[in-house]
Amino acid sequence: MRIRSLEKILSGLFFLLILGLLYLQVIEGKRYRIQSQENIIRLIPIPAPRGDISDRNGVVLADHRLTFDVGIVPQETENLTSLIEKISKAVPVDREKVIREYSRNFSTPFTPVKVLEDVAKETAIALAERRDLQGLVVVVTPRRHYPYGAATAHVLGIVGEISSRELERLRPYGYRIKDLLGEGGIEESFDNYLRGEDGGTQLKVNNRGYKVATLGYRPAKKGNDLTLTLDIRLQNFIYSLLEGKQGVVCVMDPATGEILALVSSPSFDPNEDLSSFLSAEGRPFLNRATQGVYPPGSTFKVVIASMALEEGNIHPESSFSCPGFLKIGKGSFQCWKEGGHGEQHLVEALRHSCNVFFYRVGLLSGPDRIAEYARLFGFGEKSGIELPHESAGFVPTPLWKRIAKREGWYDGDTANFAIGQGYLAVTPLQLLRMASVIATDGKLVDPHIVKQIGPHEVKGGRSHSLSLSEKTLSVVREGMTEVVNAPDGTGRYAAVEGLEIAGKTGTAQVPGKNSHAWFVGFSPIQNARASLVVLVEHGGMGGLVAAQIAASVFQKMKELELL
Amino acid sequence: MKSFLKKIFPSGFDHFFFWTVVVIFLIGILFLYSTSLNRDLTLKGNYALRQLLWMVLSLAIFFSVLSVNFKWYYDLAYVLYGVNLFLLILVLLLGRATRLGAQRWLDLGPIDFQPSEFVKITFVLAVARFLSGKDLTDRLRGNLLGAFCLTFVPAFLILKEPHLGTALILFPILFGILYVAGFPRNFFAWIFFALLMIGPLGWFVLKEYQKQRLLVFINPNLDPLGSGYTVIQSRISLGSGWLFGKGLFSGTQNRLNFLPERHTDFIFSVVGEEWGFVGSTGLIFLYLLLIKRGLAIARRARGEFARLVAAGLTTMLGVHIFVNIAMTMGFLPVVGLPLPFVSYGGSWLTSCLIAVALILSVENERGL
Repeated sequence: MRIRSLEKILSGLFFLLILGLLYLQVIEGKRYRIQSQENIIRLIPIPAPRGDISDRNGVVLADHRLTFDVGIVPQETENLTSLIEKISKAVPVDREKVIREYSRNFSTPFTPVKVLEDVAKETAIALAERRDLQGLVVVVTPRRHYPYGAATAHVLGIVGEISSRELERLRPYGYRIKDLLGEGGIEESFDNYLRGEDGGTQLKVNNRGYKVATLGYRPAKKGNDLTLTLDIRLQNFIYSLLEGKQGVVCVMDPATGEILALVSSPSFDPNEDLSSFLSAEGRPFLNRATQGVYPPGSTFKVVIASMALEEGNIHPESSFSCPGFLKIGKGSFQCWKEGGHGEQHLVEALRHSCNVFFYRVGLLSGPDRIAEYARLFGFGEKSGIELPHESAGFVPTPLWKRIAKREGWYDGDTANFAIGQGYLAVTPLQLLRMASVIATDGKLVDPHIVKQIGPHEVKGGRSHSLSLSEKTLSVVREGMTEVVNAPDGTGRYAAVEGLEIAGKTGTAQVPGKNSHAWFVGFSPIQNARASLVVLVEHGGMGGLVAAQIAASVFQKMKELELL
Repeated sequence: MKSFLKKIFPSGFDHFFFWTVVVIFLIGILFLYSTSLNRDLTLKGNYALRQLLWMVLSLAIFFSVLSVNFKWYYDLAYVLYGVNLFLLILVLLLGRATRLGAQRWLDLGPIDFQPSEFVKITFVLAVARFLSGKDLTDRLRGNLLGAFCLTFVPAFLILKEPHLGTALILFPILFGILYVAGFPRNFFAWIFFALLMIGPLGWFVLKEYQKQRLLVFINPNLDPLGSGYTVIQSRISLGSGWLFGKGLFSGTQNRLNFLPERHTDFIFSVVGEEWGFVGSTGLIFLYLLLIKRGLAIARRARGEFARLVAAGLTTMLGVHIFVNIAMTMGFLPVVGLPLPFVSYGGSWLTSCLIAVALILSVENERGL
């Protein structure tokens, strides 16, 4: 009968419905369950405060300043246009700007949309107290603050919003869009420790995205505080000393590798708008101590002297005569002193910084040996200090020259190499390590600047012995002592009354410009507690400006009882 | 009541059919309450309460329909049909614009009256009357033309409202009646073939929003926040119910307002979300029982008119159930057909109960 088959048709259709439900609710059920949860759950991150940074005595170098932002909560706003109108009148600020910021920063109806950043405290309080501004909130936002500004800028670096390129690289490590990321300095290299753990609120929302309930809350965990090896008193003093100059002063405890001060000038103030520094003279963002490379000039003679003694090319008593120049091949290589220094042995040659003596010593050993010792003293490699983007400098060899320049290595190259000119390029920090080798009975120390992460001491400042003989060290040390303490020593201006100081000056020639002035040294001569490097770009004779700055630094250290 | 029923039902009242309807209706009330929970639970916002009030009115009509001698429906079939057509024309003339841009209601003071819901019944009566007592083998073509005309006129008027879904739903009901009436089987094959051919031409007749609905039906992600939104959210509601559902009154899609039209056309999605696969198939089984029982009554009917009325009205209910549920699953376009006894809506509830009353009356009828 027809009704029976009609029943079959209708039952068949119903069976299809059940099949459909089987597919939707059983087979795909889990997927749809997740989708329905995504519909209603929103995560609002609570940014974690960054860890503070302080110097070795606990003086804060980086912390947070509370600033006041003006925000609008869309969910609670009745009349947006009139609210914006009132805000722009009260502050006062351009209405268009507020509207622009609002549309740019809008994310969800229940999160305050930031429309004005860092308004004056009085304005913020006045706005917050007004009753006719429904939906307006004053958000207190901690902003990174550096009490010593430019003096510590290169060591600390800055923080900024993560770039899309960085985000791509760091996403696997839990970084998210709009996260703050350290750039340059300790902020960058210790970002992982400083950044802390963001907390968050889990909200339940309805179809319009309005908050219905709070499901969960996890407080943000502040990042680790860092303690640096810096002494801000010294750092600040040196920064003012270098004001107006382009250069570097870096002070280290040679035994432990702890950096007491590291100043690169010119600098920038990280608390200010950085764009103004972008066009500034002298590349203020460059950390010259670790990133700048220069010919070391005569300071490199410390390496040559150690090498010659160690390799037995000369004895401490061996002497060469300096007539003021040396003929090598077709060229004539000058000593800095016209008429020459006459007959002299190693200690005297160091004291006078005699070029001819070191030309000859260099020629005796040959360039490969010099390069070998340069590397032994830490040149051509990064020192490993915890500051990012460090330069390795460069140590040339005849092989390199043949490959890279397609030229042979001449004796003239060796002579230049021996007095720290030519292709050799070093960072001030590398020269500091070199000086510290002599200061510490032949140990090459790894400089470090972070003393503690939270309460935990950082193991740093590893050193290894270069196996230089006691004799070698004492002769070179004697030479460096006379540099500062002999009446005709090139570094006599570095002397400070009441302090034992040894050192070496350098005047690195720069083609077409005034020479760079160098001074490296340490104090006291036995069991040195501080070694230092001074560089003044285009400062002329190392014995003058650089040595004078060194003296001021040593003097200050004495006052601070660091020496 | 027992004596009342005895009096008007000498040959028996199908309690099973009736009580299945009541159970389905009560389940509907439960879910209407659930969809009202995030509104104010006053008379204004509480769909369950309002539906119960509609039920009181509908039951009065239900018992009136039961108490009328079934013979009268045969006599009055064309009159009722004619009055209903008149009301449809009235809607077109006086009907007020709704927020959806369609005119479907007659405003009768506190009550909105939707004649297109009642035409689903009166046209069944008219077609059944027209076909009963005719020798189909004799004047097949004439009978066919007459039955189609009886369907086309109200379909056209409803299409003008415009309400495509209701207009189109009349045809499967018609086919159900024609089938039961004994039209040759190959005729239905021809109809099917012809629809397949003409169907695509219908595209040009469609209004822009109707085209949009069809496009979105093919790919809901075409416009996920616009026309596709309802389908996507409906599927999420159903699917997220999983096997046992999120629990009565606990559907997040429902309670947090993600599902539009959830008290009317999409109420089945709420059932699926809160009661899961178990609950939604359970409801389908109840409907299946209802349909089987309705057709059983049709089978037992002694007269041709009664048989066609019972089969036609049962088909009417069955087709609505199928199209509505398939629509919530996204397997058919959103055509705006409500679910019998469950979807909120006074006219619809009343016409469903009239259908039930008529089917029950068939049991009482002899000899027509």
